[in-house]
Amino acid sequence: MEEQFVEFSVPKSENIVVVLDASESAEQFWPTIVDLAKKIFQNTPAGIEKKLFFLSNPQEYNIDNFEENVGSWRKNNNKKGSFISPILNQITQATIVVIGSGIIYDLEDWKIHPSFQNIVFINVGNSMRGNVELGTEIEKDDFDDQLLQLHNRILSVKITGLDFFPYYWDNPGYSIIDEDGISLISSNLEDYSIKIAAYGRNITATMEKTEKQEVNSLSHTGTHTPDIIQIIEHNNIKWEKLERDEMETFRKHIVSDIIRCPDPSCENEITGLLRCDNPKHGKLLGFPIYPSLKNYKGFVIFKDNSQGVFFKHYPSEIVKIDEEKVARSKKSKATVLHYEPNMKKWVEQDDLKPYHPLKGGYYVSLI
Amino acid sequence: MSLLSDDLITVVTDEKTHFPLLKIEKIGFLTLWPITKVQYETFITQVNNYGDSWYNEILASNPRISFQHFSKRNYERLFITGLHIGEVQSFAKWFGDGYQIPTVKEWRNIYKIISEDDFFSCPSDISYPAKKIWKKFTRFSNSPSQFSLMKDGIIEWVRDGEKYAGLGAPRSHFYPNVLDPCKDLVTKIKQNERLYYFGFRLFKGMNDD
Repeated sequence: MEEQFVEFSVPKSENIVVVLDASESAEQFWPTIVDLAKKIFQNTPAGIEKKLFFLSNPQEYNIDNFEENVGSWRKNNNKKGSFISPILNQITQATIVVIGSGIIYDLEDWKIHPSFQNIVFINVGNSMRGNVELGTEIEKDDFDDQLLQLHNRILSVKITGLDFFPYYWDNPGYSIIDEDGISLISSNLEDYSIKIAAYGRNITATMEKTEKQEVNSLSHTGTHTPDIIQIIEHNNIKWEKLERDEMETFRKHIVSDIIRCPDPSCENEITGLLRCDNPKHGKLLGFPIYPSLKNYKGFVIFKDNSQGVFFKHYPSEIVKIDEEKVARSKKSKATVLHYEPNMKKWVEQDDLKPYHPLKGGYYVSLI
Repeated sequence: MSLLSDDLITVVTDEKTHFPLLKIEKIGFLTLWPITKVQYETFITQVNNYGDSWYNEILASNPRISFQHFSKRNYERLFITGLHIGEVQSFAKWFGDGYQIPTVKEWRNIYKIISEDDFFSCPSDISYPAKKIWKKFTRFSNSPSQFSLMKDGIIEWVRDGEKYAGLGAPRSHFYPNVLDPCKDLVTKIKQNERLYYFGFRLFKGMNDD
């Protein structure tokens, strides 16, 4: 069954940076440049921050004084050539729109920069990009369509695909839903970008936008198949160490057939969650087996090695536990599912044991 | 034997463009490489005195290559060439007090010192483009004089008394005449001629502030 990393990336911010070309090569088109800039400013919804720059100049200009001052601003920027670096050097996340004509000499310096792949060049005369493949260049006649796109905010995103079953994603704003197969959904996020490790093919992200719906095909990132241990080791969550007595409990538990509460006066059997539900503890949510993990919820990974026993939170509701086998947490319970090729679907198998071994001394548990 | 002890040349960072600068004890400061187009572009964007048509004329003879994509075959295109001496001097004035085109004697003296020196250490505060160039030149060059582009670089403007001339030892595919910079000097330069093989680096003597 196909397994891959896919990535969906969109600009995080709701800022629009408008860059005007006041250089010699755009001189004859200046009235059009000013008109298009005004259209953008007038049609940008409240709540979206607008910024104004001129090519070759890192200084930000005040849009409130645009009409009165734009003529003198042009003169101040007319003999500086056509360079984008002074602006891109200081912008991290924004929708950038450049309005102008004639080659921008240093565009190639930014070609490999992932943050600037969404720049829109509105060409009012001659190409600004030339042969450099960065962003999108449109003619001024397509400006009105593009304007709608610029202000076309994402309302929600749904990621799904054929036999789609994600088992790691790095944006906690997404959650799983079970409707005609498995999907990841999110809404009202500031940043919809997400990296996913998943089973499945033909994975798409459907964006509900203020203007219309858009579907993006998500392609593989990287050349290798996701490896669950690599995912655990290389995500941004730090390992923490169990206390000495907790370590003893852990090492005793993983070799026992029956897992018991470590409280000597209890010894209740633990079957699913790593919490003891014996009412004698007087804990509504159950007595935590590991005090170090009392504030955790969801999947936790343990790693046992010569330096001790370490743990870290696993950020997704589903974790891969074996080839074509995953565990999914739902309402304080984790269920093991496997892919049934004859039925072409994921089928529930058993409940997840308190400590499920992964390869190489790693264990997954539900807290 | 080295003309100078090991610690007499250090690499520092220039304050205007954040490119590497050689600090040679008791002698002065010299830009490690000829001035690049990226550096000259920083100047253009700050002075509002050079338009697109002017820059197109400059690029026509030695086209721009990005520091992201240059190779051993074409690195000469990184450097700004074809400038008139007045355009070089404007840049020098902007670059910093006391910087100017080196004299023939200064250039040759430093060339000898560098030829005898060890490889340089990269300062941590140079700009991103300078870092990329440094990394690639480390792979391309076998000696400090090659790394500094005093050898296998371009012809560079130098002062020869009241006149200007050129020094350097470019690769033959860039400039076909074989030159020994310790003996040969490129002279008879027509005024207002834009020479694609002529670039420059800047020097400031220790007491030139």
